[in-house]
Amino acid sequence: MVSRITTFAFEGVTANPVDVQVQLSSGQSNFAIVGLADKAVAESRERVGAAFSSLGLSLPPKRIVVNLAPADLPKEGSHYDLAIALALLQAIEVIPNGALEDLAAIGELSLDGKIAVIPGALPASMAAVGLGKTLICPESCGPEAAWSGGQVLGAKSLMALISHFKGNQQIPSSKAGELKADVNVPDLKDVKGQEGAKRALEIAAAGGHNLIMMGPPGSGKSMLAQRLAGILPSLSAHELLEVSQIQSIAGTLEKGQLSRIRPFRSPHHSASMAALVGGGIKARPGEVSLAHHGVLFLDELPEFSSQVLDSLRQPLESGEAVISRANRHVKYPSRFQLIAAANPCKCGGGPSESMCRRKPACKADYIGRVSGPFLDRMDIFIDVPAVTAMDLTLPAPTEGSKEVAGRVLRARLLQEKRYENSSHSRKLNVDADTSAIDQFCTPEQSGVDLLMQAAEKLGLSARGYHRVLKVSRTIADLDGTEQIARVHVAEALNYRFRPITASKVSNDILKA
Amino acid sequence: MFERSNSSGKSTRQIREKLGRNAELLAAIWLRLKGYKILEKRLRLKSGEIDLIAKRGKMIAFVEVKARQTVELGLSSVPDRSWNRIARSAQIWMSHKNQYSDHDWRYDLIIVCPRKLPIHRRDHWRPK
Repeated sequence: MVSRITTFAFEGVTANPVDVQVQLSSGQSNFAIVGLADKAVAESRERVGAAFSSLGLSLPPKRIVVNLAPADLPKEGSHYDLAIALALLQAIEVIPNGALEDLAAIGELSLDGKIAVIPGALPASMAAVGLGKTLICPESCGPEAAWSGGQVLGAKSLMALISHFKGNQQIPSSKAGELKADVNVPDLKDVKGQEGAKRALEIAAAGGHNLIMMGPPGSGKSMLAQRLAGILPSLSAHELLEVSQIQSIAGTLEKGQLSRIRPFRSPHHSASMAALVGGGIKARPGEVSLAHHGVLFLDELPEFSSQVLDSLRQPLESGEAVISRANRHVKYPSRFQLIAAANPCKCGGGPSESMCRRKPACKADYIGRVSGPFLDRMDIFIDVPAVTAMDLTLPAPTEGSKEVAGRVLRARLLQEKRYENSSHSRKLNVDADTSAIDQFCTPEQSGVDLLMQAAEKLGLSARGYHRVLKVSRTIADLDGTEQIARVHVAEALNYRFRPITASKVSNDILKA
Repeated sequence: MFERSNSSGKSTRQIREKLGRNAELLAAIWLRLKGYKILEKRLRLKSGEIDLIAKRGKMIAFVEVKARQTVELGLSSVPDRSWNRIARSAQIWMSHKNQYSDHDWRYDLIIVCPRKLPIHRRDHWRPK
């Protein structure tokens, strides 16, 4: 007789159902796990055996074959223990026949029969809901798994589960964890001066545009970036689920508490390609995926290795990070907003760059470390000048994150309505495709003229041209106007990155 | 019966042989008392020796008997190498006995200590 239960194999954020089948047959006693199991799964044999003896049970002196079907799907991780143990318990008739129908289980066993925490409870639970099954998971993963809305049993130990199945002591179904109340996100009020940068930050937040800030040390670049999370609208229910699934796989959800604040990730500039895009032995999500629907902040951009930066180009364009392996591809969603900060040159470019003795070579060298195609993907480029002592003595600005967030939300609602029928998961100007740009982002005639002139003078790429149009659309949205005016185009052009050697947009173009 | 004495003029080797035979006899009696049927004693095959093969219900037990001063010494007296030899012999023996093909097998250890009842460790070893 074969006893069976369902468990899950993770591939990216999707949990694929795996059927655990246990068969006992007579013959030389043996315990084999088959079905492309990796080392951690094969070691499950020892853990299950030890957990059984801690309960005073012994494995039957029979041939025990555990099959993990489908057999051609690679399985890694330690979360198969619980399912194997439960199916085995049914095979030796410790738990009644038929008790495991409509059940799925994930969890790692410790030697004393306790069930240890595993990552990925939320995606597994969502897959269980899809199959119409109840999920058994470690007790501390229960609040996280219960967010899927399905029936979840959080069990402390194998013993507790046996009593549950025998009807001695029922395990209550887990309740979803709490929504984390507003963690204190820094307020934009703390930043004195820097009105230009604040405006750029607001535009970036409204349209989801990528932003690069350049300025001397201590001018408040990092301070501004950290305040972006506070002016972005909170995650929608659908986005929250996607973000939490990734966090669940990465094991960063504490006590099953979810937060509606958009993720803000700021990896150090020594980060490797695998840390950023994802990878490692188990193809874990990287920073770009952890920043999904949120902000990826790269401080000291030119200090990142150029290979690492260029690996960001593909996730930036396609919104997903693909980790290729010899036998499979793992995909993680990674639709993030990139915010970067950099010093103008290696020596820091002191107050108004006068401290740099080697300009302009110093500046060109330093920015030259970042590849052109990468900079081409940045929509907004803003200089953050040093803050003067005068600025610091000013009273705190009256406008804080709350007011800015209000305007950003209004602009976002306009965009949501506009791209209602688009296939993109985000309804933002930054994701508009060519046909949408033609339809919605055509400025008034004088604006078109200005853009034509500037494109010629600045040598805008096709992508650059479209990006300017998208930024001007966002600026118009912030103004609440249907038609993109000449001023909007002019402001968007101002934010465009231009090579150090190229001349600045001269005023006579703007006047013409 | 376990005391060593050289008064009879026998060599140590012969004394130990005798000791082992006595222990096996005692173990066999002990298994009979527990309701096992002894199928083979001192089975010698090319691949190795099996001290006792016993059967109870649908279960065949391949038993290794050890005479030692203490239980602890007995538990550690059979290395994996020896068990593997026993397992190989067991497989050969089972392959000739079609009437037992639907039976389960296991490997037991019986430790015989002086002035104590034999200790029977069921399912003491499993093939890896």
